Amino acid sequence: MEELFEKMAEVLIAGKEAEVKSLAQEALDKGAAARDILDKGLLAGMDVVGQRFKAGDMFIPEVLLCARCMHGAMDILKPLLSEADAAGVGTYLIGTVEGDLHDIGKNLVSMMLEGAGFQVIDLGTNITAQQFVEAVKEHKPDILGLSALLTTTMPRMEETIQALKEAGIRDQVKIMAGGAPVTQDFIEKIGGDAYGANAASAVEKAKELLA
Amino acid sequence: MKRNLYAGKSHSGGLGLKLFTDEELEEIHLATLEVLEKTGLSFDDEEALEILDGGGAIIDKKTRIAKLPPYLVEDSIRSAPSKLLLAGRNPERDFVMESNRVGFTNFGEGVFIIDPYTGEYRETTKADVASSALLADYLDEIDVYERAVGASDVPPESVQLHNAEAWLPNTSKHGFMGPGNGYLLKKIVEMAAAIVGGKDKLQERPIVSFITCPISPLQLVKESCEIIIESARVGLTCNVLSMAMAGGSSPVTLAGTLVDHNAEILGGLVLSQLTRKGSKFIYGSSTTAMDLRLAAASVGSPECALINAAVAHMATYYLLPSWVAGG
Repeated sequence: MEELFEKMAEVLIAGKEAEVKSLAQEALDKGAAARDILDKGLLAGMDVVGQRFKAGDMFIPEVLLCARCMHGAMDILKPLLSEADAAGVGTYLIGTVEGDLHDIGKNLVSMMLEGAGFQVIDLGTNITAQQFVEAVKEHKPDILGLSALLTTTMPRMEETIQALKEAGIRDQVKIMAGGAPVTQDFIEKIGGDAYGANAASAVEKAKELLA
Repeated sequence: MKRNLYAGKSHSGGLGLKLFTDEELEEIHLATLEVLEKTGLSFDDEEALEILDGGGAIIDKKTRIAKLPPYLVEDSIRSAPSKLLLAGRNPERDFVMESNRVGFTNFGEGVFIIDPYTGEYRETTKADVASSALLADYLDEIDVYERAVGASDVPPESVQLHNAEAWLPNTSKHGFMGPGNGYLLKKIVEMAAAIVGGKDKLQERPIVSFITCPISPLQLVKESCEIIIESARVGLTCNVLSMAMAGGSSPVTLAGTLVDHNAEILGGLVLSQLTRKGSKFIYGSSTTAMDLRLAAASVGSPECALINAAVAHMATYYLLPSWVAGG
């Protein structure tokens, strides 16, 4: 079985979706637990991908291909995973704040987080403070991530944190924020928990928050 | 020994990077027309959709997508002026955009600065905006000023007014800025009019122009629509400037990115000309390749230079003034 997991990680790193899926199915047929396949096959592969990306040895499109492989395999595994297992490392709710339609950064962070084993719920762009509050109530994420590109929409981040406080649920979730004009100082000032300067460090910070 | 004059001679002047043949430009143009006709652009503004509807575009109110028939796009290209006066408070600092005359500007929209005195890396302030204008004013190499940095120490709702207040008195060169939205644009027009001596005088001596950026791929947000519409109404220049990132927000091929970019700018142009025929318009670009290792926009890359040359080419093909990103 260990060999199978190793092979799975290898073909995932090579971005071969069909092979990853067939190996995942083979492992299931041979009696492996879905959770083990996820951890020892898929996430083990994505871990290497993450490291290589960080080192500048793999490019975004390659990481995307690998992430697609993982999604393909997850389609097979999801029905067999318990809710807790499906949430993986943690549930991460993410969105771009109200008045802002930029999403490349958010999409990259989401992709990296999924690759690191998070379950990511992406609300999209132009999300009001109230919509964030409702989403936190509904999905009960471990972390909420706020994204903004425009300096004029950064105040919406503070608004969102305020809205969560008023709804009495601020303590239920860790809050991260990012985007070109955002800084560590800004996050501290508005009462957030962590700041990721780029996609890779966002993932690291997210893991730290849940440790 | 003595040599007589030539009887008429053609001269080449200067150097240029000629990327495309006319037929290749036509290919890009036709591809763009197809995208605009079949896929359309997203205009997230009711008034913009109405104006486009009235002008012959095919509107879907629910999706807020406008499909532009080719004749509409080509009419707009034709009706936009080919020559623009960018006036300075001091007429000796005027800049005329015409044919392939080249001028230089500083780049804009910075949010951080390395403090020139302390070396600290910090957010920019209203004072920095003023200093940047003063510096640009002094440097001979800079022909027009673009708002270099923004104030982080003022209320966000009125930040563009504060920025305008900071740079307008500090340079007598022409200035470009993003006004934020239609409402603030009108206020900035009043500020500029106060400086030159009235709104009529501002038409003769337009000391300010406005910039707005579509979001790639193929989206014009509410504020962008407002800025295009209000610039047209008030008779000032609008620089519609896309920053598509090849491999990130547009196709990874440079030609595909050029088509996406072209579609966005021409979409803005159509809105401008339908609001008021003959409105002053600049074909702008900061489009470049995305660095696919670092997931960053790489504005100083060779691809950016190629795209700049391509954009300038397209604009010349359309007889429109252009503005491209530097390195």
